[in-house]
Amino acid sequence: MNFRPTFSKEINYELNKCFRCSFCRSQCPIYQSKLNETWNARGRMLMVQLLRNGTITLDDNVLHRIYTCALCKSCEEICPGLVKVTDIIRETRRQLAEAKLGPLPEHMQMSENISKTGNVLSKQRPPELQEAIDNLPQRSHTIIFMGCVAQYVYPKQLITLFKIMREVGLEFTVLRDETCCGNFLNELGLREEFLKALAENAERLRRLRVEKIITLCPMCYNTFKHDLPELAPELKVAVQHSTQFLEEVLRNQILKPTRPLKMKLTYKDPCHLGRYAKIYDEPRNILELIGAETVEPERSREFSRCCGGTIRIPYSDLRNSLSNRFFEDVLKMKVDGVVTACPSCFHNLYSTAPYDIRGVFDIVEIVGYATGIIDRLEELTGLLE
Amino acid sequence: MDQRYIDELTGIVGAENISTEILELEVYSRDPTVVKGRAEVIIWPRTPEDVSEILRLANKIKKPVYPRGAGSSLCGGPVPVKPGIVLCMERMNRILEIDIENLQFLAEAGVSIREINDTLKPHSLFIPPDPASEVSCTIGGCVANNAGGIHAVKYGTFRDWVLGLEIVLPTGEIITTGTRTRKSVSGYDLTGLITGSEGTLAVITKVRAKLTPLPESRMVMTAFFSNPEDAGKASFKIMVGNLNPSAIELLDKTTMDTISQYLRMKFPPAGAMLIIEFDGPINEVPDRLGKAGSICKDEGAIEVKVSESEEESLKLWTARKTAFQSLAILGKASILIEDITVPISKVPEMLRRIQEISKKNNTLIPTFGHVGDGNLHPHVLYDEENSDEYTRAMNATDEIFKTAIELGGTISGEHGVGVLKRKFFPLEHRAEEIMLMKRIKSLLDPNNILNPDKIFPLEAEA
Repeated sequence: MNFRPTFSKEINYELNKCFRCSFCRSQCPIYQSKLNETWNARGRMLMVQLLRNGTITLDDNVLHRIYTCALCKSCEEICPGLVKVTDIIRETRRQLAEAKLGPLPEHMQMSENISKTGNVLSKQRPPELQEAIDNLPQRSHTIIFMGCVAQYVYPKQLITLFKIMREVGLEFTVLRDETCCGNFLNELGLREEFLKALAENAERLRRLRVEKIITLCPMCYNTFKHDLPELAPELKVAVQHSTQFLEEVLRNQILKPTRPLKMKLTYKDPCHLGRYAKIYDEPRNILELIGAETVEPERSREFSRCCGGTIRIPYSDLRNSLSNRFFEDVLKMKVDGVVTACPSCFHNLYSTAPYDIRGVFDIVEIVGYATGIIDRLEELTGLLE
Repeated sequence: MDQRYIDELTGIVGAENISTEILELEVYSRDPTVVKGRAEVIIWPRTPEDVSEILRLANKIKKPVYPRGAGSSLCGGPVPVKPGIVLCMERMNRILEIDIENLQFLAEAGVSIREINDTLKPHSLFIPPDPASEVSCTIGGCVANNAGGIHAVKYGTFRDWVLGLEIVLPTGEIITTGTRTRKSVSGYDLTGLITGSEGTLAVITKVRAKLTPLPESRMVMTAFFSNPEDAGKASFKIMVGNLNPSAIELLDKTTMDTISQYLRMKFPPAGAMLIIEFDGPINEVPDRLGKAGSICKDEGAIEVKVSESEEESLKLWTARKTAFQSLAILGKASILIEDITVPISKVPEMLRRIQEISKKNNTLIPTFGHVGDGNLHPHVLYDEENSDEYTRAMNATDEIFKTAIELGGTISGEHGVGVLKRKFFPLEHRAEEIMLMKRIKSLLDPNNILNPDKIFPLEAEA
């Protein structure tokens, strides 16, 4: 296939900065699964250079290297050249999409789901969540942006967050006609589709005169925090991740723990919350404030392992190998459970956890349980009796 | 390469451990340098027996084989300069034994230094040599190139830590060299022969090496000077002052400038700086650091500053490890990285001469390196498309090597000769010595299949 990307001066500068030092071998989760240099950042950077120079042509092998990058930014944390690897991959994907050579059919299906149903999963809102939404006021300057995964797969996380908000006396609502924030469209290079999705939500925010967004999805967080001001600078919307909000109310004792957590937990940094948004301390502070005993994984914070959630479709085997690697570390720590602060990571970990892992939790629910707002942690069987 | 040989190789390692995919051939035909090769097939052995069978076949059909660790060489070491087989050791990546009682470990060649040290950390042990690429470079590659790094000034290079090896000869024999004991004079030192042979004599499949307890404490200090020569003098005085520093690194002004732009760090205005580290018992380190500080002041240091936190020290080491990449800011397309090493008393003179060479050839030569053990990294920058600049850069490089030899030094302290330095090899070694090395090579590798055209100058270059 004939495909020769042409890059802006900035992207070319980044691309040429990679001098193939090999440091990314130590971080790239895909490389560590494949043990083949063409699947890590330096291999991918050389590949993009060779595509640009016309030395190699686009084929399925090249396409798989482009779409298996989890955009986890692990390589960028170790790169001594500070090469913006994810920007280069994203831009290459954008040009592939523009040339109608990408993304993969499975990705296009997800994109179609959004345009048809407004959500990436093409699902109906669960009745228990719909009921909770029906009880919310029509208007508020503060909204919870629900996100696709929590809304359609793990509504309990949202319902718990609603309850916590009510408990601390914060008035809020949701966008009743919320559609996908579009983050993953952007990650796949579907830039126009992304901007369209973002514009739709921007219009809703404008209509409701929203001043503050709280979201438990790190991808939605990044979209509203960084992309929204670019698209709609006139909208002055404060954006908070649920962990920032929860830490604030716990620290100020507006919300107080009432139930001791007799568990040893480890916190898993989601890539999009940690390396992207640099939110590392808040979730850890929350766990400390509710009195949970925690163990830091060998690789945490900037160097935490990616669980592979972003490449689950269509590379589920590769995803499995990434999450298995993460759980290998967890098993060594002898903890009762893993806590994360991202519905996508939660989904990925929850659906791949080996039998020996006793619990996978979302941090909102852990807080809900510790503060007596909810009575059961469904994901935990037999541990709390 | 003939399909039937590829089939035969596939039979040895299985289809999942061999590739002829164009993209993979391209990626595995390079290291970080400008040297580019032509891989015909990439193969990932899983066992020494795989390596043996591959080498037996290659030897039979006289096909070059290029062993490769992390591919982080700075001299073209693993590059398949002739069409051939790239033998990737990255899937032989297990730590097989940690023998705490005898302070040693056994690991397959493809394990990274970082992984070994991470595994040792809970036991408060480590293997000290740490090349800048320790996060990724492999133990096999480090031994094959006798790698050094920042802490070599105190702890030496890998040669000082290796006890024994499992190797596969180019003719296929699997041999275990060395011992488990701390010393041995039983027979020729085959371990020593293979260490630093740059993958030209045998393929290393396992390494047994010594360990040592992690130091109780570490402290870092920076000293700023008006010129590199003064910094070199201070470094020499510290080295002979019975203080035993664990690192003394030099950064010249150009490097300091690029790093401060690159990492947005601030250094006081100066012509050069030293980063000095001491490790050891907590009651000794501050005293030694203080004495080193006084030496620096005596040698004209403008400012001496002790790092106040581990975080600050870490930042300085990150800056040092990023020095090379930061040179990208200068916008020169090509860089020749040297790792000349001179006797420690000659360091100030070498630093002065590099500045003179830079001036004379009107070429930018930012210099940094392990000044404590005399190992310097002058970087000759040029634009390949500018033929005048290219000629001046080549002249400067030539003069740097000649000066190092004139001062009793070596053309390579730790990176190896590989491809990039082979034409300078005869500057350092006389014809009889090179002949002896070549005889050893042909004794072990009669068909010259293992990493050919490395170290020794090609006829055209001699």
